Amino acid sequence: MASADQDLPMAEEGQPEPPAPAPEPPVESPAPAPAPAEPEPEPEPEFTGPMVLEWDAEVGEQVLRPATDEELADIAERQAMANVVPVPKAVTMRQARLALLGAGMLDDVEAAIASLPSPHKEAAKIEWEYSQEVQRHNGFVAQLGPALGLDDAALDALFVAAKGL
Amino acid sequence: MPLMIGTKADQVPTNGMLGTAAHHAADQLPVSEPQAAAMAPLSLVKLATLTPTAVAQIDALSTFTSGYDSYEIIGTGITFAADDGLSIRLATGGAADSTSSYYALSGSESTTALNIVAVTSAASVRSAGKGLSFRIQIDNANDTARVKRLRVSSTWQSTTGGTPGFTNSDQTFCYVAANAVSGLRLLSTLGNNFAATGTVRIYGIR
Repeated sequence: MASADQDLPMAEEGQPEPPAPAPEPPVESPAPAPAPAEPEPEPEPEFTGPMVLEWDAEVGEQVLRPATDEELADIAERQAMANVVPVPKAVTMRQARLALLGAGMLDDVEAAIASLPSPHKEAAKIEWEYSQEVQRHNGFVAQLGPALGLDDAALDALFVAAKGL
Repeated sequence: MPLMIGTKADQVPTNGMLGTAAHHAADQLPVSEPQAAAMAPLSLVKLATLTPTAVAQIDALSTFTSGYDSYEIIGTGITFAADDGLSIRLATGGAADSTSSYYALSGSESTTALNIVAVTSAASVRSAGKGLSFRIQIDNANDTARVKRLRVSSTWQSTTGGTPGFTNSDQTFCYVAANAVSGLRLLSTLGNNFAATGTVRIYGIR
């Protein structure tokens, strides 16, 4: 299309302005290009984690839903319990002596007992020499543990080891 | 017709009627509504039936209403994807309560608060075996001030021993949260999935 500067005469001073040119017919716009197809929404990733079966009291039927983050944490905590070896409540004196021998502490026991104040020392000596079994939560164990340099966790581990002997 | 105590020999006792003419000289003494309610036989109203699929837990957290104060939950034929045990938590306001508000009672005083109620021993229910059936009773569910009672009775094929045997557990717990109980959650003690077997039915007791 020609530009207005080239084709239209300029109005001169004192002369009436030429009539305005007829409006140009609207330019037919080319057919709109087909809109690009909307991308298919990506399918939601299938939830592969733990599910929860829930009773919907309003509807009166059961529904399935994925476990929430809080529930997942609770489930993980319970799963961790499966790997926890229970500490035996008691082991035989034979098992206890073998476990102490294995830990290289059997020879230290008598010295540890001797280090206790009376009358705990005498009571511990009787327990050590005459008991058939050692209970994990017996006062004797609680006293002897620190004297042998064993904290609660180490005593638990010793009892677990002893139970297998 | 007013609720009455006492019947004549030719009357058939119905709800709200007590005794016979042979035992009562006076005919038809009036009975108050509370007395009538107390005399009415207990009835179970089924509130929910759940059929487990492979899920980590089974929730009925908003199934209880103020219309019932006692509930009975009956589970039959339950198994797990691996050897596991069954535990429960009660719900208040539609959310399972994992706070230390449960006490296991065995005839002596308990001062150890638990955050879960064990219906069976952990890892004790044999996954490939004959499963677990249980019954849980909950009383005083709506009382926000005093203890709620849980009675848990269960029978299952156990994993202990070389030859799988059968065992049971009968325990009483109390729940001390200062809220009405709105439901419960059944969960595997060690986090294994339930297997797609069995049924859990929840009843309200009137």
